[in-house]
Amino acid sequence: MTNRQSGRAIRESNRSGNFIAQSACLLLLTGSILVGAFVWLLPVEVVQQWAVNRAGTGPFDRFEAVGQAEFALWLVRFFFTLLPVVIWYVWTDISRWRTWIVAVWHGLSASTSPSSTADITVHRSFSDRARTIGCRAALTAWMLLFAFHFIHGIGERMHEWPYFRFNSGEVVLPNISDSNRAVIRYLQHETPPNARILVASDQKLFFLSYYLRPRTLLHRMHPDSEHVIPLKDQQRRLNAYRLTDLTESDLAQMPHDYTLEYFEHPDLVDPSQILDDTNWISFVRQRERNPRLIPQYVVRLRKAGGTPR
Amino acid sequence: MIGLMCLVVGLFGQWLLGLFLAKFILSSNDRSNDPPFVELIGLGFVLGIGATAWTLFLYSFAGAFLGFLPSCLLAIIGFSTGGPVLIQQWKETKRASRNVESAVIRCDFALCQACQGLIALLITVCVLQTLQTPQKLWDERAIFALKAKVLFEDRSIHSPALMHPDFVQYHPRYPLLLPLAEENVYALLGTVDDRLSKIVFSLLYAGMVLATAGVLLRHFSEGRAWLGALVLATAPVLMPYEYGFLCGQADAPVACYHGLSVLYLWDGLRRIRSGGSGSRPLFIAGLCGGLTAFTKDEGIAYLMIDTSILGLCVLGSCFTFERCRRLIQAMIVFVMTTVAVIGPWFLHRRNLPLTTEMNYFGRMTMSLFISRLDTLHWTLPHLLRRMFIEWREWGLQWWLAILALISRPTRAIQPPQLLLILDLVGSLLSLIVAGMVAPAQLDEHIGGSSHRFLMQITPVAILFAVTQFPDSDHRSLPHRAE
Repeated sequence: MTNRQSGRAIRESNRSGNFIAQSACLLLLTGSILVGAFVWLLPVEVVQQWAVNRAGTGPFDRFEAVGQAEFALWLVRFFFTLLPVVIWYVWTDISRWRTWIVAVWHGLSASTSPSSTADITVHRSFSDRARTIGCRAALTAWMLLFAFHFIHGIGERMHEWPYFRFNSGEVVLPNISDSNRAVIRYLQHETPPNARILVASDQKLFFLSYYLRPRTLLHRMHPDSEHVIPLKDQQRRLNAYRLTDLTESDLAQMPHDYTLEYFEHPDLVDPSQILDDTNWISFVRQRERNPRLIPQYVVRLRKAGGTPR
Repeated sequence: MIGLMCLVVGLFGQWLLGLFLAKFILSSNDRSNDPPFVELIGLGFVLGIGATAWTLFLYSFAGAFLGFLPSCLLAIIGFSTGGPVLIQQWKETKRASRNVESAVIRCDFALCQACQGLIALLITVCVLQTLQTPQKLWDERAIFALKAKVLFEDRSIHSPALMHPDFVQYHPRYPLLLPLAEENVYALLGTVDDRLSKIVFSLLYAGMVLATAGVLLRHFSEGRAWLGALVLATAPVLMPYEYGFLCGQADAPVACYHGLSVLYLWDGLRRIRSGGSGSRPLFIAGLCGGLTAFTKDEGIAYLMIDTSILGLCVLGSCFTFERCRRLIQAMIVFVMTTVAVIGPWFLHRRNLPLTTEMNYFGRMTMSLFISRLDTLHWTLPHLLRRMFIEWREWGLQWWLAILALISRPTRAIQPPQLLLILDLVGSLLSLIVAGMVAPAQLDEHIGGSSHRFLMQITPVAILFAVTQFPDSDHRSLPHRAE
């Protein structure tokens, strides 16, 4: 075959390749515009209802289904708004994009060849070939694993959306126990923002301290509990000082406006004290919408000096 | 809305400050050795955040009050110093013509563009996912966000709350880089926002990836350098794992600062081996090393490891006078820079309470080591399982490093590569020692944190794998220093 003939063959092959690529782009463009129009016209409520009908029977399943359906629909809407634009951009200069993709492929081949050259016509040793294959296999596995994690990550964000939406941590109080949450709300309700609160507790109080700022929480931690990780549902008892264990000198080191006793572990809860703080009991009953609720843990808030508030 | 605008402008100023510092440190009289623009962009984020936190620390250490004024002043300094640098770099980038006539270079350039596009997409996704949730994990709130709130409200690192042994906070002696970086966000914004403050972590992710690309560009072809940066950007344990850059915990920032510190040490050693001076990269390595220790206490261990490795390099080169001299010079630069960064913090730290602190160094005695030797029976299999068996959860970085080591074992024992191996081995040993001396239940302490510790050294493992292969025949590619 002469040079002129081979050149003509390459040009024809390019032309037919461009034609196939342009047709595929046109098909994708039409499809994405149609799907995009459909998802934008589809009311959110319809998708939410569809998700609720398929939700499980768990206490939060329907709540999660509603939020996740909303998140998924908006994600799809944005995706199918962007996709036609990208396809259009590619379609307008298809031959340049084809050349670019081929160049990326060759560049990738060259960069993943640890030997001196990626040119397959050059003789290479067995070890060079093994390194090249190993490098490419590792890169492929790496990218596939990342793709899996990426999709999983989007799923996680979809799962979190119903709980957080655009709310701050102050509003949601995420990842803490219901009892911690109730005590935070109670203290926010009952104490002024600049209050200094001395706490006797068997709980790790970091989240209370965080969400109650600018209030200052002071807590003499029992040395046995300093490096102990608490477990869910009071499965592990954390040793703690009671208010009566603190000496005058201890109290002098911790100047305070309020004292709070907050114990959850059954060994440390005195049932006779549970109903002592009437404000707390009415607060928690109102919060739980249960006028006969008797909490399983002790919360007693007093003004400094022991006088009831 | 005004607060949000102040925040955007303030963070831009912070980035410009970092850009100026990077340019000032890395630029030399020889223009062919000038750092690539992308390296300056990446270091701009990393050094900008570090310099802001460090300056605010010094400012407050001297007794002045934190708040809008110092944060705003820093942004103004950033605009006035980094602004001209940005304009100059922009003009130079536009002026620089790229010769893409050769097919090899054209392919390499196309790969580079593809990787750049993917990295841009990943950074965008990282920012969006980070901002989607407020701070919600244990450490991010109990240690760092709580301190940030106190610093914002009390406007001082000498706040009575932070100094009180009974104030409810976790690890009162943990360093203040992240709390001060978050305080800077709150000060610019005018209010506490536990969602927007997480932007700091996305910026560190962007900085780490771009700076890595920039350094690799000085040693490899464009395509391979950007591919290396893409591999780093796609380590699942760094992003999108929820304890990585998507959250407000310190492990990913430590990975960023420690990773860059080791990267610049590697860069410096390569320069010294090829007859150049390693002082400039070692200066950046020292800054990043110091900032690692100013982010989390593990940084102290990393500094000890890296300084020891540099010492070994000096010993190993004592037969070649000139190289030995340059190595000693570089080591002095590294150590002095580090001390300058963390010195003030250690002065302040002495006055902080010890409640809930593990006090590792205070507990290290020979008798304790001997009595706790049996912990190795649990720790070693656990670590190996985390690194190699649980690859589906944390990524393939350890397999990749092993593959790279087996692939070219002779290259692995040459000093720049050996630095990376020794850093990894030293880091793993320090985790094992921490498990031995910690006053906590071993399986809970190490079992619950080893994946986060391994995350901190993931960039080094990836760097080792990426740099283990010499470059292909791209001798005429742009941005090559060697």
